Amino acid sequence: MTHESLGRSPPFARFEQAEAEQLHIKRRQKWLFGLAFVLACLLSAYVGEMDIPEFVDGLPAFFNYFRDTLPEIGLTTFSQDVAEWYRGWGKWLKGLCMTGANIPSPVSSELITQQGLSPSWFQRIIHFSALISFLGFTLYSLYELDFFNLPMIWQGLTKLFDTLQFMLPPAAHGRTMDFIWAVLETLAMAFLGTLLATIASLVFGFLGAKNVIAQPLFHFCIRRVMVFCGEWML
Amino acid sequence: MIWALIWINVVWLGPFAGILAIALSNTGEISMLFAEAIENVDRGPIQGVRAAGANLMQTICSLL
Repeated sequence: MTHESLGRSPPFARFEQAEAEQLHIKRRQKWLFGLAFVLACLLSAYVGEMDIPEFVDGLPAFFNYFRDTLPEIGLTTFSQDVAEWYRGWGKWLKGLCMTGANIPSPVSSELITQQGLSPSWFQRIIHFSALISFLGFTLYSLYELDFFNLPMIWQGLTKLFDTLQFMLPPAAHGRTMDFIWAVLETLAMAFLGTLLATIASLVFGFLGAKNVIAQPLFHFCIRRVMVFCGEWML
Repeated sequence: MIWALIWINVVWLGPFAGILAIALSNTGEISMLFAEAIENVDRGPIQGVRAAGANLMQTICSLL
């Protein structure tokens, strides 16, 4: 049986027709989805007040922000500038030493055990007093931060429920359009923000993958940049 | 949040600053995820596509 005769047989023709129909539906769905996506992008750009010229005009301000946070260090006045930058470093160092002095060091207990004191007794006292002082400091901190001020906490909780009560019969008070616009703006921000982020991430994902660029220092740096952008600045 | 504070110096207070702030912070997180996914990709299909004669760009596009 040749291909021609197969094509003419009724079941095969029916199958081919059904397949063509399905492909047509699939292609149409793809186009519809693409159109809806582009429309959503345009609508979000409109609602989100995306203004590219304004963005380009204002871009220097973005870099100026980071430049202004850096100290000014000139070559001729290097030492004075560094001294200005680390103003009061002596006090910091003293404070650091005082913090360190309070930590019970294991060296001193070893020294005393060598001098003949019963090691188990001494260590037991050290551990017990450390535990007690830790617990005491915790309780003192909680007290100092008004954690045991139960009336205040109860008052705050009731205020929380008051806020919930305000929401309960949802009412726009004649500002329905404002609220709808705000909701649309939120959606547009989320949609466009995530879309732009995904496009940029395609590039950065490859740059940050260890098996694409096998350069440990570069890998480390770009991972830190990612963490900086994504988490520290959040 | 801090990105938003920086971006409102660039574009004035409004939704566009929000878009840029969300984009930048999400770029960090999503590229972390993408990088992990690319690092843990299976080598087998790559070798297969390369053996069939695909160039670098075709390999990336077919396996993405």
